[in-house]
Amino acid sequence: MSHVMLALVRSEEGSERNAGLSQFLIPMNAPGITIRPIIDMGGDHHFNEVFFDDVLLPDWAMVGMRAQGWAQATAELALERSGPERYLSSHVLMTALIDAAGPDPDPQIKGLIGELTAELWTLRQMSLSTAAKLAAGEDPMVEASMVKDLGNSFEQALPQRVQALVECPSTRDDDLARLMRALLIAAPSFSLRGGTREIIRGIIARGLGLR
Amino acid sequence: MSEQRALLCDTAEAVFAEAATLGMASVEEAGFGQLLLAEADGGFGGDWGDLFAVLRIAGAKVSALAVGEHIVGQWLGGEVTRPYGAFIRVAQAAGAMDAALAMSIDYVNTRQQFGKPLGKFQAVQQVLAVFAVEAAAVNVAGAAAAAALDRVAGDAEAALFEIACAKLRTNKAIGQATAIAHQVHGARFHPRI
Repeated sequence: MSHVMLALVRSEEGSERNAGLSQFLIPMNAPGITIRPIIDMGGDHHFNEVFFDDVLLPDWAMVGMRAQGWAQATAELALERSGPERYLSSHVLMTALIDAAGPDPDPQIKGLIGELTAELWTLRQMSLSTAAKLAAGEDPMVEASMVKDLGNSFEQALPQRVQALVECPSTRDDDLARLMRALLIAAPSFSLRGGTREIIRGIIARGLGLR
Repeated sequence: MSEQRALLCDTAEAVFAEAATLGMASVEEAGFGQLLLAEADGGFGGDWGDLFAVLRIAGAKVSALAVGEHIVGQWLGGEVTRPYGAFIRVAQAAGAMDAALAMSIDYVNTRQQFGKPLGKFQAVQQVLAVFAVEAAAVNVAGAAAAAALDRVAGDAEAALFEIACAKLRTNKAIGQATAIAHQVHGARFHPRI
C-alpha cells in the first residue's frame, strides 16, 4: 500500500498543453481522496483511478519548480526508458527456456537461444552506453528512447517466439509453461508504459530531424 | 573520439573516396596495412576501436573492397579466419547502415509528395525511427565487440562470444534496415543502374 503519490497536475489557471503543470507529493490519507483499483488481464493490481475532491496541500508538497512539472517529468523518463526494466520483463522466461532445453537442445531451440542472447547482449550494451551518458550529466533522450523501443519489442515478442517452438498444452504446469502463459497476457502492456511505441518513435524521428 | 582516431578517420575518408575509383591500390599505398601493427615494428599502433572506426567508413564508401581483410591479414601475417571476417562485416555494416540512414533522411526531407516533404508524414517518420534504432544497435554492438577484442589483445577466439553476438544482431538489422531504405526511397535503387 502506497502512503504517498507523485502527481503531475495543472497548477496554472488558463494554461494549455504541457505548460503550467507542477509536480506534487500527495499523502494518500489526505481528506477528499478516493482510490478505485484497476485490475489487469493477468489479475494483477498495478494501477488505480484516483479522484481528488477539494484536496488541500501544504506548500512543501510541491516538488521542484512551480509550472516546470512537464520538464521535470520528461527528464525522469530518460532514466525510466533506458534501464534494465525496459528489456528484462520477459527475462525469467528466457532463463526457464534455457533450463528446460538441457545440455543438448533441439537445433531450433538452440537457434532461438542464440538469437535471443545476441539481442539481449546488444540491448545491454545500449543500456550501459545510455547509463554512462546519464551519469555524465547529459540528457540522452533519443538514446534512451531507442533502448526502450528495442527493449520493449524484444520483451514483448519473447513469449510468442517461445510459444512458436515449445509444445505447451494447457495441462502442462512447469515453470516454462506457467511463465509463458502469464507473459503472453502481460506482454501487450510492455509497449505502452513509459510512453507508447508510437510516441517513442516520434521522439526518435524528431531527433533525426524529421518533424 | 581521441585526436589520433579523428585524424585516422579524416585520412580514411579521403583515401577511400579515391579508392572508390582507383581500387585497393590507393588503400595499400596509404599504408592502411600498418594500422594494427605495433609502433615498435614500424606500424601505426592502432587498436580494434580504431579499426572499427576505419571499417565503418570503408563500409559507407567502398563496401566492395576487402579493406578489412587487408588490414587484419597484414597484422596476422596470414589467412583472415572466420571470426575476424565476422567482425569486419559488422563494422562495414555499421558504417553502411548509418550512411543509408543519412541518405534516407535527406531524401524524405527533400522529396515532396501530396504538397509536403515525405518526412512530414508520420508513417514515414515511424519507419525511419525503426531504421535508426537498428543502425544504433549495430553500431553499439560493433563498438562493444571491438572493445572485447582490445581486452584480449586481438585474440578473436577469446572474443568469440561478443563477435558472434554482434554479427548475429547485425544480420537481423540488415534485413529490416535495407527494406526500409528501399521503401522510403520509393525503391529508387531497385532498377539496376
